[in-house]
Amino acid sequence: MTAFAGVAELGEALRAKRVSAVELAHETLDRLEKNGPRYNAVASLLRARALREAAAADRALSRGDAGSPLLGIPYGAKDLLAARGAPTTWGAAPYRKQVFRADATAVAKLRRAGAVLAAKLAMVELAGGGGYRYASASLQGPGRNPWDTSRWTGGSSSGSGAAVAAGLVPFALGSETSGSIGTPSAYCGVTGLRPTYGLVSRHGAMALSWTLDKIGPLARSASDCAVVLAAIAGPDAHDATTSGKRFRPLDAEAARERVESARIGYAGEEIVELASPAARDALLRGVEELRRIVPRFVDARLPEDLPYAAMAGTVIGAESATIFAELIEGDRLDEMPDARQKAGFRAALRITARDYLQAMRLRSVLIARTREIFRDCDVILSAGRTATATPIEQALDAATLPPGASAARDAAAVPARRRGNVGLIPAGNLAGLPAIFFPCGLGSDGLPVGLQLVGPPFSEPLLVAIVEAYQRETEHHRARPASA
Amino acid sequence: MEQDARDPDDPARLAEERAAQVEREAAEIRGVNVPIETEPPTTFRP
Repeated sequence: MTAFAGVAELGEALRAKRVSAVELAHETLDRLEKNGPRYNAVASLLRARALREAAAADRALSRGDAGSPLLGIPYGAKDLLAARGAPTTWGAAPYRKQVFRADATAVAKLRRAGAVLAAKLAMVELAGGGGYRYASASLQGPGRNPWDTSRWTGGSSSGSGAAVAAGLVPFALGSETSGSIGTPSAYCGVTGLRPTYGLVSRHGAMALSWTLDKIGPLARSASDCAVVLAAIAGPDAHDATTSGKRFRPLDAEAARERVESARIGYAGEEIVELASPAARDALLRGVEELRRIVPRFVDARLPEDLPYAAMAGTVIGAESATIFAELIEGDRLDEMPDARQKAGFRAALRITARDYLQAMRLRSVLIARTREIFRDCDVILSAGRTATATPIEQALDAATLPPGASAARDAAAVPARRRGNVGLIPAGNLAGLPAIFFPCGLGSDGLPVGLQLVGPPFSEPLLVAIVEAYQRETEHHRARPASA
Repeated sequence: MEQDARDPDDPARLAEERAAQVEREAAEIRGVNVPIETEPPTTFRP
């Protein structure tokens, strides 16, 4: 009854006493237990905690204390977020017995909002640090896509994407360093929101890159993402990088006005020229659907002279290798299965201070240049991913390489010209910009495709308002995989 | 194009490739000139 219901729908059912929070928790836990293994989505089921939190929510509901829209709503959290007393494995064998004594701030804020933590959700090991080759780089096994279990969920928030797409939970927390909310959202057909750097505390979250990590929601709609973001955003004395800002969605009238007058920055070559044959038509249809809702499109392009992938690789490599230096230099790294990932971690230890600082210096240039772009447009539109979910056994660095070629040798052969806004994921992350990823239909292979909107810092209210308007006019976010 | 006969997941091959990737990325970012005459102050904030 409650599978695939959104946050608002479940909240209404709870307040109308059509279901109790404990009943809802039982249903959710049973779904996670029964169906989670099909997708390798669950790292640990938190039955006792969930039933305790649900009972507290029922007591609050019976007192008429239903102020929080998340009261009694179950969810899952990526296993890089600490939950008191529960295993927090970071998806990696060397940390399989790790237990923290306190909740991560995002989890604690959701607890205070009355949400019910039902499960820790699977993830790519160490959030993909080092650069993995195979979807199997996860303690829980490869993330299997609910739309086709022979396809990958995307990573590194693999369990978060799968659990929402399969209707196991109404929302989940994920994290993004560069692509880890966006990719599972696109591949699994759910809505994901990457907040502005510093809007959400990372206290209690595994650090992969101090200057890039963000915590954000994956859910069934932009409205649900907004409800979750409102609960987890804001200052935190335990995380000095929090901005102090909060998130509040626009009211209906302001949202209508802002959406009608918004200028969508769009290039499009990255879809027309680079999208896979299976994804291209659905992506272009999605762009045209959005154009009917927000008609003012202007040409907008990322700077062509900045090497985003190299910048992100250097920053993430240097920071993650420093964070995990003890693991990398010890014996336990070999407990992780992905040979490319381990080699990447080891190589990253040799990134020099000069190169790290040059990459950081170029980020300042990028931030200044993105400010200029946002003088002429309010948001940038692009594909969430330009292809549908990859086969689960496929080498993830193989799709861009000719057969028999090696990643190292052939990167130099990639054409220098950047097509459209193809680097928007690394560029947006390097600049700390917020993004919302939302489904726009199915590709010719029956798998989800999605778009992304990126805005200036702290533009989440506009990003949410645009996608809410899109989702009022379309049904793509309501599509369900047949197998779920 | 020169083919590497080793298994793509061979640790020695991967070690070489990933080390080369670090060097290649370093060359790319060093290749972007930031004029120090007009460079804004550092972004570090205590």
